Formats: sequence, C-alpha cells, structure tokens
Amino acid sequence: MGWLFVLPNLVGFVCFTLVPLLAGIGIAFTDWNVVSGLSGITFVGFANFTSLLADPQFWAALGRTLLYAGLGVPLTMLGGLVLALLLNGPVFGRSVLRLVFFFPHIVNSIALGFVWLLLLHPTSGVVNLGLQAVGISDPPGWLVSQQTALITIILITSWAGMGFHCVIFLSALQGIPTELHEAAQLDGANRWQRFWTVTWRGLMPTTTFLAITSTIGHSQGFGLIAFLTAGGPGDSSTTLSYFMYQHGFQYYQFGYAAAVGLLSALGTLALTAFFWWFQKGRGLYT
Amino acid sequence: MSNAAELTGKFGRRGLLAGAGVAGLAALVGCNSNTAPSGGSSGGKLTGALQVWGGVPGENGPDALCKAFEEANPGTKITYTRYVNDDTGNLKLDTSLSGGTPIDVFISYSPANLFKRVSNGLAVDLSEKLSATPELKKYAPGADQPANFFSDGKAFSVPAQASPSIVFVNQSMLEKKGITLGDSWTVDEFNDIAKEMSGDGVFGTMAPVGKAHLTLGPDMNYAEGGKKSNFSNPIFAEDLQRRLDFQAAKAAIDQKTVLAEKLETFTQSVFLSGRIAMLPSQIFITRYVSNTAEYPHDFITKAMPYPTLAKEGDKWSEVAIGDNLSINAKSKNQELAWEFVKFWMIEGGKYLIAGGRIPAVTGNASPTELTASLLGKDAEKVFDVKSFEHALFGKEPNVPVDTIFTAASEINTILKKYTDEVLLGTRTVESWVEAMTKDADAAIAAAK
Repeated sequence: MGWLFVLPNLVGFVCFTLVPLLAGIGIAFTDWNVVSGLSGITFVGFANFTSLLADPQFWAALGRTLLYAGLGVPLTMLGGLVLALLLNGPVFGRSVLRLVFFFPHIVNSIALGFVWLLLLHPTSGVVNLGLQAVGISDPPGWLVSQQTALITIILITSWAGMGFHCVIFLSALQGIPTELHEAAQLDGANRWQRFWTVTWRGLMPTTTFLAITSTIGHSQGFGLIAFLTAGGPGDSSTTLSYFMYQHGFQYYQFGYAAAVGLLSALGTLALTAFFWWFQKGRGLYT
Repeated sequence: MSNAAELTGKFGRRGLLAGAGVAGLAALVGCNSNTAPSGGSSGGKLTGALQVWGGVPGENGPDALCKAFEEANPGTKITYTRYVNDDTGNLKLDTSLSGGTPIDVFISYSPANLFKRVSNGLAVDLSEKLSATPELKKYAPGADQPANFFSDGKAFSVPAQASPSIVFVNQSMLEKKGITLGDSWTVDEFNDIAKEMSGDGVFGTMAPVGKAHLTLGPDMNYAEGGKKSNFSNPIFAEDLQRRLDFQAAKAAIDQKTVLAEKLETFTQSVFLSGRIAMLPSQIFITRYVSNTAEYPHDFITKAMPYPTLAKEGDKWSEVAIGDNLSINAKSKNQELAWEFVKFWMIEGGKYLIAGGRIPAVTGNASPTELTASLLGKDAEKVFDVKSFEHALFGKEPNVPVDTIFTAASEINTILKKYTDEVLLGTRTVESWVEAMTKDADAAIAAAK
C-alpha cells in the first residue's frame, strides 16, 4: 500500500530524473550526433574523456568556470549576508528594501541582462558615461572586452543572486536564539566576537546550503552568459556550460558534450561533499 | 556518405528565372494556376494531410501558400509549423525527424544543416523527380548549370530561394555629400565612398566589402578539396586588415559597438537610425525599411548592386541559394509531399516574396512585378524603387554553390572568435592567420 503513496513521485523521478541521468552518463561513452537517431549511437568507451583531457579549450573553459564559481559564489553569499545583517536590524523601510533586493531574483534573466547591456554599453551606457564624467577617459569595455567580460558577468550574477541569499540568511538569522547573544554580551563578548561565536555558527547550516546550491548554480550557469556574450568576446566567457552547449547544440557532438557534463557534475559533487564535510562540527547545532 | 558534393557549380539567375512555364509565377500578375497534380492518392485527385516544418514565420508567406495549396487541391490539409532557425530550433527539427515525429516536408536554411540531415538518411532522393519535372530539372544532378546542393551526386533537396546581396544606401546622406552613384561600382569604389560618407557621427558602412568571396567563390574556406583550410591565403588577411583600417578611420562601426548592440543580428537598426550611410546586406532588410512604425525614418533608401572586383563584373556574385525543401524519408505521404514541394517551388514565390525572399523560380514574372511584390504598397515613400529593380535584377549573377561543409559549424565558431579578437585589438592579423589555419585544420581533421 505504501508503494501507491510514493508511486506518483516515483514515476516522475524515474521518468524525468533517473532515466535522463543514466542516459546522459551512457551518452558520454558514445559518439552520437542525434540526427542519426538511436541506431546511430556508437560506443567509443573512454575516447570522449581522453579527447577532453587533451583539449586545451576544455581546460581553458574549466579555468573560467572555476573563476566564475570561485569568485561568484563567495561574492553572492557575502553580499547576501551583509544585506541580511543590515536588514535584520532596525532599518527604515525594511520590508520595502527586502523586496527591492529580492526583486532581481524574480525578474526574467533575459530582461535583467538587457538592462545591463544598456547600462554597460561601452560608449553610450550610463556606467561609462558616469566614469567619463569623473575623468576616466578610457573606461572598461565591460561585456565587450576580453579582459573584463567574465568579471562583469560574475558581478551581474552576484548582484542578481544576492537578494535570494539575503532572504535565506534573514530567516536563518531570525532563528538564532536571542538568549545566546544576551549571554555572550553578559560574558563580555564584543560585537565581532558575538558575530563569530553565535551568529556565524548559527548560520553555518544555511551557509552550507547556500554554498552548495550556489556552486551548483554557477557550475550550470548558462542563460546570462549565452545572452550577454555568447561565450565571447573570443572565448573569454566560455565556461564549461557554454562549452558543452557549443559541442552539443552547434557541433552535434553529443557524446563529447555529455562527457563535459559528466565531468562537471562529478566536480560539483566533489565540491558539495567538501562543503558538507567542512561544515560538520562548526555550527551551533552540528 | 561524404558531405562533399560532386559538383562545383556556377549558374545564373536568368537560368533560374526562365523555364517555369505556364504554371510559373505568371501567377504574380494574377494567374491562379493549379499544379494539376497527377498520380494522387485517389484517382488522380490528391488527398491527405501534410506536416511541413519551416523557419519562416507563417504570416510571412507560408500560411498563405499552404492555404492556396489546399484550395487548389480540395481534400488536402497542410499544417505549417515554424521552427526558429537557430541552434536550438534546428536541434528540435533534427530530434523530431530522427525521433519519428510525423513531418513530411522540412526546410533547411544552411547547407551544413541540410547535409547533416541528408547524410543521416532523413531526406528522400529527389533526383529523378526533379529530372522529370520540366520546371525543376535545373536542380537535378547533371544539369548544364548546377543550381543545387548535391550529395554523392544526388539531390536531396531543392532550393526555393536565390537571394542576392545588395547595398542599401541612405539617399539623403548621399545627396548631402554631393555624391552621385552610377549603375555599378567596384569594391574599391564602394570602400572609397564609404570613407567619404563617414564623419559627423556617421559611419560610411557597417563594414568594408571584402574580396575573398568574390575572388575565391565557392568553398572559399577550404583548400586541397576540403582536406585543409584556406585561411593562409593572403586575401583573408587583406580583408581583415581592411576591416581594422576602416574601424580605426571610423569609416565602419567598431567591433565593441557591434558586440554591445548585437549588430551582427540587428543590422537594420543602425542603418535605419542613420548611424551608417550604407549597408551591404541580403534583401530581408527591405521588411524593416517598409516598417516605418517600428523603424521610423525620413530618408529614401536606394539600392546598389553588390560591388564587384572588376568594372565589367566578376566570375562569382554575392548571391546564395537557400530555403532547401526536402521530403522526410519516413513520410507516409511522399507523393503528396512531392506535389506540395512542386507547388512551393513553382507557385510559392508570390506568397513568399513579400516576406523578403526572392524565389528561385520566378516564371514569367517581370523584374518590375517582382520588385513591386518585394517592396509592397506605398514603396515610393521609403524606397527608390527603380534602383532596387536594377540592383536585384539588372545583371545575371553567377552563384557560387558551396560543395564542402566539413566541420563548417566549428570553423564558423573559430572564425568568429579570432576575428572578434583582432577587431577588439587583442590579436594581430598575422596571429589570426596562424591560429585560424591551425584550429580550422584541426577541426577538419577531427571531422573526417
């Protein structure tokens, strides 16, 4: 009888998660161009992986992904945490401000990207016009410069994600017992000591959760990159996700693309395991 | 099956225009002829339903064409499905075709995509049918002037469009500079005029006209019959250096702006907003020139033929065949599908030309009628109509038909990447040649 209760969810999980996942893993070991149909699938063993490891474009894309996630995740989390700490106190218009900061998270990413395209236009964008007004004669090219495109995307995604992180941190902050702060204060702990021993430790499970989900999100980051720069200029913003898209959707090398996806997923899994291990014993309740 | 076709061809549009016969695009001037299909499913009368997938929005012609076919053949039902002709749209079509979605007729918009489908057995060999149809036998293998893409000597599609590139010119800017244009011009003359028209915040052109394609013709990116890339040919470096020079002289839009405003996709906006004086482009731009509500502008657009290398004209013209109609190998209605393909080819032009597509088969329609259909009503308000007629139909073009598509998508991606880098100033032209040759050769080798 118990099976009947889990059946609807189980069917959905099997059809839409398990089977595609296993199929993706299987395709990584094949040469397949989709157009040939299922009969055109050729098993090639580890050939896609050995080609990948010898492909300098793959390593370059991996490096960019590490930069994208390595800078983007902490920046988003730090921004979210600072906002949450500010909005957790007595601030005028707190509810409105929470909505304002959360707003980019609920806006369609294409609309969001379009606004930034206008703001960061190298010659007529508000940002560069402002920089020129204060005497910077040669402002950055932002999204159209190989030197700054990826950094700019990191800043935009971090800005867009901060609101969500802020809301999650806020709810966690409100779950920390005030008695602990009062007790620490009575024991003579200063502001920083109270933050480090009470607040930060109280936030540890939430921080871990956000670090994991944000890392997964960044490792899969595609939409804004595709819209804002299409992996360019050159390939300066081609992360693993976009690299995978190129090989799958543009070159029809689905086996190769699936191999990229599998390696990317394994990397993310390893990072998730690391985060999980790292937070153990460091929180208030762990 | 190899992607390299056996025939390398050149053919003239007049060759295409001629021969559509009584059933041809005389319809443009009001003749509503029936294709009178034979061998239908019941006693010579066609019946049945077809699923047709194409990339042109239905309202730009295909819906009217399908309706006309249904009216001409009562008992038939055509459902036109639009797929977006981009990476994901093409993948959607490919997965649908290979997955068994009941598609009867599909249209490919790039030879690379077409050959991908052909080489995987998704299209029917139309060679015999084309040979047996007087109006279309020019597209069959073995024709005097090859006018189609072939794979292993067979035709798996038929091109519905022969699209010339022309130059759109802002008439007001031309007059302001006191420049008078003749009936034709060379590449060097065009580039000189572009420089002359630059200044006061206006760029002479979107980009200077290059010489590589006009010089090398079909398969220009390949050498040694497709075994190697051809980017070490000095003409590519010369073209790229010219683009850099134009950018530096502010005679062409700088690449930063092109990327920031996605102008490679939305070229019409810079022309119609008066930021560039001239725009070499395919003719789909006419749709936007006519659309004064969305693109308000107060100048007349003049057309000039695409520049040539020599005054008397070149071996190759800047004209491309496209909109290749194929019948799905899995279609259960292949007879009806073929009749529909014939109808599209022979009578479809009048429905599609208003959407900015010059039909490959125009039958008896005169250049004046074709131009009128292309530019629409009240054309005189925004177009120099006569100049369009001359630019589009004044001279018989020799169309370079590509035959090699090895790693074409990969090469295009590499080309864009390195060209962007040069135009953004982070790579030299010499380094471009070296990197392009190395990477394109590697892509070709990997694809074999």
